[in-house]
Amino acid sequence: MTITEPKQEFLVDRRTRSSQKPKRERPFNSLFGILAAVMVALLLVVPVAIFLIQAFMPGLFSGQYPLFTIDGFKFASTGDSLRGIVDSLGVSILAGVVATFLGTATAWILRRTDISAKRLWSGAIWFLLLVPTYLDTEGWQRLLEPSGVLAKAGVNAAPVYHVFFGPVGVVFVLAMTGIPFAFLAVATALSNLGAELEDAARVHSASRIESFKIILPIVMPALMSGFAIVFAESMSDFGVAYSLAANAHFPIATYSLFSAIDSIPLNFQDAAAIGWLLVGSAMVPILVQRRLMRKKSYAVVSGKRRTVRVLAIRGRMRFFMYLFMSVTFSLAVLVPMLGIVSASLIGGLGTDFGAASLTLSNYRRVLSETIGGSPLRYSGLLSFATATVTIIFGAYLARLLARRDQTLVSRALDFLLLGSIALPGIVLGAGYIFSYNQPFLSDIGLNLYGTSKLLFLGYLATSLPVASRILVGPLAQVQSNMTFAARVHGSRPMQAWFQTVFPILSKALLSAWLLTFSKTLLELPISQLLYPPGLLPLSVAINKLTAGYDYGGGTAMSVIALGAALIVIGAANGIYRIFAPKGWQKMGGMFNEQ
Amino acid sequence: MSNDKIALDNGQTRSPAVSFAGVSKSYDGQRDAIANVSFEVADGEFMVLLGPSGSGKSTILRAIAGIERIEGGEISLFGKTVARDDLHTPPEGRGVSMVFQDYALWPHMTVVENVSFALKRFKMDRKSRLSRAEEMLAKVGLGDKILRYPAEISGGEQQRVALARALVGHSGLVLFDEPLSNLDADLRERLRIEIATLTREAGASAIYITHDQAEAFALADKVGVLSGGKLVQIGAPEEIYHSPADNFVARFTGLSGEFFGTVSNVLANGLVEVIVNEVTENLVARSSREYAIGDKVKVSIRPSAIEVDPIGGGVTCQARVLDVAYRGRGYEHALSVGDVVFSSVFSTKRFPRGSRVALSMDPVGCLAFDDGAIENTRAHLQRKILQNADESARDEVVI
Repeated sequence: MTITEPKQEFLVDRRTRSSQKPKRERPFNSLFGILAAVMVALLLVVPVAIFLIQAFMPGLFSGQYPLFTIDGFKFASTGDSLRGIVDSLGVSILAGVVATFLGTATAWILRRTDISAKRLWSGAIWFLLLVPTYLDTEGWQRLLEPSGVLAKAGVNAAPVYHVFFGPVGVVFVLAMTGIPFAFLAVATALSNLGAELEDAARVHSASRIESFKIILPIVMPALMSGFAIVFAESMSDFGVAYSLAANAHFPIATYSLFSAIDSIPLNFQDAAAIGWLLVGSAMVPILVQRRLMRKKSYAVVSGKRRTVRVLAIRGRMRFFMYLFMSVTFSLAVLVPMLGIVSASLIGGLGTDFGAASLTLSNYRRVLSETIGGSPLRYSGLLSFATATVTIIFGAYLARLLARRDQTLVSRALDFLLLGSIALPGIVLGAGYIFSYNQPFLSDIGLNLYGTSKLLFLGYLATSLPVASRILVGPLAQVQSNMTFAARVHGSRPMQAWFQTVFPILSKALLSAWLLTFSKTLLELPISQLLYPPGLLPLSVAINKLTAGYDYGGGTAMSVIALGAALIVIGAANGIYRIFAPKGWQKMGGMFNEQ
Repeated sequence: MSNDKIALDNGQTRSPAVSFAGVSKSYDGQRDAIANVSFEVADGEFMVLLGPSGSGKSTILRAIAGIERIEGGEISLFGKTVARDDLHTPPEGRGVSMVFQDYALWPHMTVVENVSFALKRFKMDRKSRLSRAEEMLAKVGLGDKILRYPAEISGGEQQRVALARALVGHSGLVLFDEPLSNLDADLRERLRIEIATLTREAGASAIYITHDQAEAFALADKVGVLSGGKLVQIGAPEEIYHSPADNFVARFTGLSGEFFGTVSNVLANGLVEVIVNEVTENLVARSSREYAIGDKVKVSIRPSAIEVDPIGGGVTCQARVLDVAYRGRGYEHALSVGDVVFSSVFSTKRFPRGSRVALSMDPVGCLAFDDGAIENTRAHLQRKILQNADESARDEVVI
C-alpha cells in the first residue's frame, strides 16, 4: 500500500470504513467460564466426592452395604489408621518447620546477598522441585542400607541407616523435598521487600535486631504460606510413605488409604474415611493461610517498584553462608542423586554375594527388557499429552482467575483449584477407581477404568490445579491495557492475545509445561492406582523393580527417568533460545531471572 | 445512525469526529459511572475532558474506544454509529488510536515494532511499516532508540513511543487517557507541548482526559468539565474560566479562596456588591444569576483577581501573610483574611510572613454563587415565580 500525504487524508482501515455492519460481541466469556467449571467439576469434584461419600454412605451404589453408617470413621479413628493420621500430622508439621527454615534461609541468601553462582543454586532448587520423594528416599536407602553402596565401599553406615529408616528419614526426606515450596513462597516476598523499609527502621534508631523484628511481620504471611504448602504437600505425599515408611513399619495415612484399596477385599468405606481426614488436614492450613494472606496485604505487594538491597557478606559470615548452602543442597540433592547413580552402576547391589563391581549391565538390562523401554515411552507420551492439555486449559483457567471482575463462577473455580492443590493424589486416584469402575458406566458404554485414558485424566486432574495457580501470577501482572492497546490499534481479540499476552507469558508457559511434564513423568500415586494392565508407567516400573530387590535395575531406571526429564527440559529451553524472538526472551519466566 | 452535521463555510456539512449523545454506563448495575452525557467533537478539534477521580472521564474515553460497553445513548465516530444499547462495535472496528495512562507498550517488542504495530491494520508490508514508524519516532526525538525495548528507555521516552504509536496511523481520532500523569513537572510541560503540536500537525481530532486544569486549558480547543458522571459545563477554556457554570467548576478550575457574604447592592452588567461582615469593603463580584439585596452568596475568587498592596487605593480587605514561596518570576503568597485562607496569590514583590497587607479584588475574577442556604433558595424560587407571573401577564397583553 502506498501512503501519500498524511494531513487530513487519514489512512483507511478497510474493516472500519467498509460498509459492514458493526457486530455485537457474543457473551462467550461466561459460557466458556461455565464450561470450564463443569470440566473441572467432572475431573476433580465428582470422582472425589463420590469416593468420599462412601465413608458414611457405602450402600449408595451397592446393595451389599448399609446406606448410612459411620463404621468407616470408627475404623479411621482407631488402631493403625489413627496412628497413621497422627504420624502424618507429626511428620508434616516437623517437615514444614524445617523446610520453611531452610527455604527462608536459602531465599534470603539468594535474593539479598552477593553469593556467587546464583544460577547454580537456583538450578538445584529447580531440580529438587522435580525429584519425587520416592527417588530421594531410594537414593538415601541405596547408599546407607546394609549391602548398600557405602557398605560395598567398606564404610559402615549401619548406625545412620537405623536412624534414617523410620520417622527421622520420613521427616528428613519430606523437609528436603519441601525446600523449593518454602523457597518460592518466601523469595517473592523478599524480592519485593525494598531496602527502604529496613532503612526507615534504622534511621529511626532501631538496632539491626529491632529492624529485623519490624521486617519479620511483613514477610510473616510468606513464611506462613511456605509452611502451609510444605505441610499440605507432606500430608498428601505418597512416595515416602510407599518407599520408606511402609517398610519401616511406621504407618502413614496415605499408605493406610492405599492398603485399604490395594488388597482384596477392597474397602472403599475405610479408605474414604481416611480420605476425609487426609483432605481435611491438608486443605485446612491452605485455606487458613489464604484467608490470612488476604487480610494481611502489606505494602510488599504495592505497585511501587522497590529496589532490593544486595548485601555484601564478608569474612567468617561468608564462609558460613557457603557452608550452609553446600551442606543443605548436598543433603537435599547431591547425596541422594549420587546414591542413585552409584547404585545403578554397581552389580549385585543389595546382596551379600560377590564383590562390588562397576558395571553398565543394569542399564543394558532395563533398556533391553520390555520393562525398560516401554515405561519410558509410555510415560513420556502420557506426560507430553498431559502437559500440553494442562497448559492450554490451565492458562484459560488462570485467565479467568486473574480477572479483576470475578464472577461467582470464577470465585468458585478459584476456591476449587486452590483446595485441589492440597488434595492428596492417593485420594484422587481412589476416587477415580471407585467412580469409573461403576457398572452403570459400562452400561452406557463409558469403559474408562483400566485404560490409559483414565490414567491421562487422573494426571490432568492432578496437574491442572498447580499449573493454573502457577500461571495466575504472570497473567495477573499483564495489564489489561496491553490487549486493549492492540485491539484499539486494529487487532481482533484472539489475535491481540497472541500478539501481546502470549509472548509476554511464553517463558512462564514453557516453565509450567516443563514442570508439568517432569512431574507427570515421575508421578507415583495416580500411576500406582490407575495404570492399565500390561502398560507400566515409569514410577510403577521403578518401584516394582525395587520391590523385587532389583536395586540396580530400579536405580538405573530412575537415572534414565531423571535424565529423560532433564534432556527434555534442556532441549525445550535450547529450542526456545534459538527460535523465540529476542523480545520474548526478555520476559520473566516462572523463576524470574534466576 | 447519528445525523448530526457540522456546517462548513462552503455550505456543505461534515459529520463531527465524535458524537456522544445521551450516553449512560453503570458498573455492577448500581453505580452510575456516567449518566446521560452528551457532547460533540468537531473534525480536527482538540477536546479535553476535565474532572476529578471517579467523575467518569475514563469511562467516556473507554466507551469511545470500544473497551467499555454503554447501556444507553449513542456514540458515533465520523457519522458512523459505533455504540448503542443494542450495538457494540469492538475496539478494532472503530479505527481510533489511543495513548494509555500506563503507556501499555508491549514489553517484548522493540520501540519501532511497538509503533509499527499500529500500521498493521492498513495491510502495509513490514518494510513500509517500519520505515513509517522510524519517521514518526524521529519526529518525537527517538530516532536513535528505535531498537531499544520499552524497559530500556525512560518514562518520558516511553510516553513518546506511546504518542508515536497513536499518531503514526493518522487514525483521525486520537484518545489520550491522562498520558502525563505519571511524569514529573518539567517533563509534563515538554510533552504537553509535543502532544499539542504533533496532534494538530497530524490534523487529527483528539479527546484528552485529565484532572489537571492547567493542562486542560493549555491544550484544549474545547473543555468539558465532569462531576459525578455528569457533564457540568462545556465550552472554550476562556468561557469555562471566566464564566464557570457553578461553584464546582469554579473550584476545579482554580480558586484562591472563598468568602461567604450578603448581597448589599445590585449593580449593572450582572455585578453585585457583597458584604462580608467586618472583613471586606467594596467587594464586587460577577453573579451567576440574578440576586436581590440580602441574598446570601458565596464569592469564589480566582488567584489572578487578587492584587496585593494595590497602588492607588481600591482596597477590598486587609490580610495577614501566612506563607510566601519563591516562584522564579515572583512570589506566591498564602494570606489569611479573617478565618479564610487565600492561596496562590501572586506578586512580583515579596511580603514577609506575618506582615499585614492590603488586597484589592478585580470583579472579573470574583464569582458570586448561591451559598446553599435554604432561605436563599426559597427567596430565589419566589422571585422566579413572580417573574414568570409577570412574563405571562405581559404575554397576555401582547396577545
